[in-house]
Amino acid sequence: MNTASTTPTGRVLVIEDDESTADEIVAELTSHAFQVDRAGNGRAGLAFALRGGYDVITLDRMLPDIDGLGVVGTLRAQGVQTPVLMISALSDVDERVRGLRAGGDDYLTKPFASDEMSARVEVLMRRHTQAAEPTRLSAYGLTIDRVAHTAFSQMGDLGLKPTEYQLLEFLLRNGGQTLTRTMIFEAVWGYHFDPGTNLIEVHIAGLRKKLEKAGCPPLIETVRGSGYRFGPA
Amino acid sequence: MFAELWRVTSFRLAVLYGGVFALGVVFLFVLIYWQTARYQNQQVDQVLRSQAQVFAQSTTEQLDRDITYEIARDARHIGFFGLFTAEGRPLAGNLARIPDGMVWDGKPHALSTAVNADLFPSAVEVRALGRPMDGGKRLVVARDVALLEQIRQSLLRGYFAIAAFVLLLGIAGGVFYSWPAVRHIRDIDRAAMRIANGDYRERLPLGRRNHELDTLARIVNAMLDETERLMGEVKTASDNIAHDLRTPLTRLRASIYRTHQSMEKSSPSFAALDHALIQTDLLLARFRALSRISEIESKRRHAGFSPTRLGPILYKLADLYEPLATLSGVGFEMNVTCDPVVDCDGELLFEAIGNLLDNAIKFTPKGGRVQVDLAGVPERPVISVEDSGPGIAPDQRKSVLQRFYRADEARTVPGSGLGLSLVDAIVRLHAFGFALDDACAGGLRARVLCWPQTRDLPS
Repeated sequence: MNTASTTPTGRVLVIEDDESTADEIVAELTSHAFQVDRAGNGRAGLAFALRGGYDVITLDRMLPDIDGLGVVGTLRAQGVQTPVLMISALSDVDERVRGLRAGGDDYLTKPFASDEMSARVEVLMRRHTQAAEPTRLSAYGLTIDRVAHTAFSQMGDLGLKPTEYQLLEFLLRNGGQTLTRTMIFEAVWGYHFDPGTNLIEVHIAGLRKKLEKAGCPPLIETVRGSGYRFGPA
Repeated sequence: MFAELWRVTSFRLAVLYGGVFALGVVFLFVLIYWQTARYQNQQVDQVLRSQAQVFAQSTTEQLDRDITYEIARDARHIGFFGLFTAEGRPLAGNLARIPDGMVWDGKPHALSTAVNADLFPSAVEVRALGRPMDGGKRLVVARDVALLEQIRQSLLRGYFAIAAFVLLLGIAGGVFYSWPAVRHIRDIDRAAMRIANGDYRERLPLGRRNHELDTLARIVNAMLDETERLMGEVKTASDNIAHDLRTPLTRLRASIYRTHQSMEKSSPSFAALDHALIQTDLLLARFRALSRISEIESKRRHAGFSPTRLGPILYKLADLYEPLATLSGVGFEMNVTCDPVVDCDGELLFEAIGNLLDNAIKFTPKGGRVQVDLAGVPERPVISVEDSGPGIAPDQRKSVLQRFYRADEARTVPGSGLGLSLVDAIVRLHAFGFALDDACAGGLRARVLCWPQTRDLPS
């Protein structure tokens, strides 16, 4: 079975007024083994969220009663720190900034690829549940020094360039999770647009070569149609 | 400023009318002056004739006394009299000799003061009458008209001062009435520039005076309203199509993706579904690009604008694209000779230059070269991306900026025909310049001129 990762078992609250979009989100998240609750408006969503117990909230920016910015603002004011993925039809950079400033943790524009949405939910959940990250991370026979920005295998320093180091650190920190090209581009280069297929593939290929030279087993898996997953094949 | 004023009709008319009026004034004053001078000469001549007549009627015994009397009566010392023998010896009067140039016809004539300086030391102009008398004697009656000349010169100076004042008044009036028009034209120029740079919501400003410029501006604004409406309709229609298709396409993609994920790789349908997924992604990417161009063109997003250093953007781009060039067997070179700070949306500029680099690498054959330069003075930095590919024919360089247009050489290379449209939209948003021309290496050179452009951009 070529199924998506079924490891996450978190609880997600979906606040979305458009039924078909909500169905889409719920179906995708359920297929990734999330437990999902859904609310059709801001007021109900806020009530669910304040009750607590969720690992991630997906929140529509434009809701009929209390809009997304109001909901996330209220949550943060009440001390609820559940990570929020804001979903909006408004793709303007101003909207993104506004959403993140109001307390959102990530931003996705409609229409979105469902695997991109679930990948972002997974990353948010991971980030939220992880304890403060140590300065040295070790996994799959690799160690990265987050202060010196260097990476080692059992054979020694990988000799990574700064961008390659950033790429490896992002993959390692989110090991086992599918990461889309856009997510990688945002995390490593800091820009929010689709960089196209080839570019990220080329950088991944370069990193794969260096890992291979350092005696590591194949660690970066291409998830067809989605992106990449880091971990043993 | 004068050149600007001179372009305004009302100013030119004011200066023209002022000039014509001043010329009329000068002509009138010259006429008055000429008439005055003529009248004054006639008066002097009349005096000279009367005096000569009186002397002619005097007896020989009385003549000496009459001349002496006239000299005594002349308190201003402007009269000159002389009675001479036939040989020119003085008999009576205040002239020591016969002035040179005398005409003995009994009529007044102007007399040269230069050759008679000993006789009329303080005179400027002298009129004199010479008359033969009985017994071969000769009578000279002359008058210094310097005072009259002074009056005439004063009049002339006054006339020219008045003419100059009238002319200046005309120019000042012209400036006063034309300056608002000049300012209005400047405002119109600025608004037209913004419209030319793609801000179709801009309108030409209207003045308070409701003159001909306002009428013209109103007509142009009405045309712009209609153009904007039509463009809006076309844009709304295409945006709606894009939007309406994107949502079902996204859902279709989700269904394909989920089926794809749940299918065994060994299944006979897996490859077909895989292909369908890739094609749907391509389709969605094009819709996304279309929407992005539309967003940039219509929303006039300026929130992301801030003073931004161009150098780091180019270094990041090199970091991103150099591996792709290396993999494609294309040499990659970057020259950053300055690091100017420009008011721009750094993310959009990154995307624009990234698109240019992507194109350059894509179209350059193996063994070729791509070069990125940041040069120019700090106020006018230029980013150029040069390649040694096939280039774009000059007649297609404007067309490639249109959405979905693909140059003949590009049809065999994968792509959507939206990359340069996106670059153009971003450049227009910044009011920067964008130029496509031949590269030294024979391929294409794309230049982004990173400062606000005024008029037509180079093509």
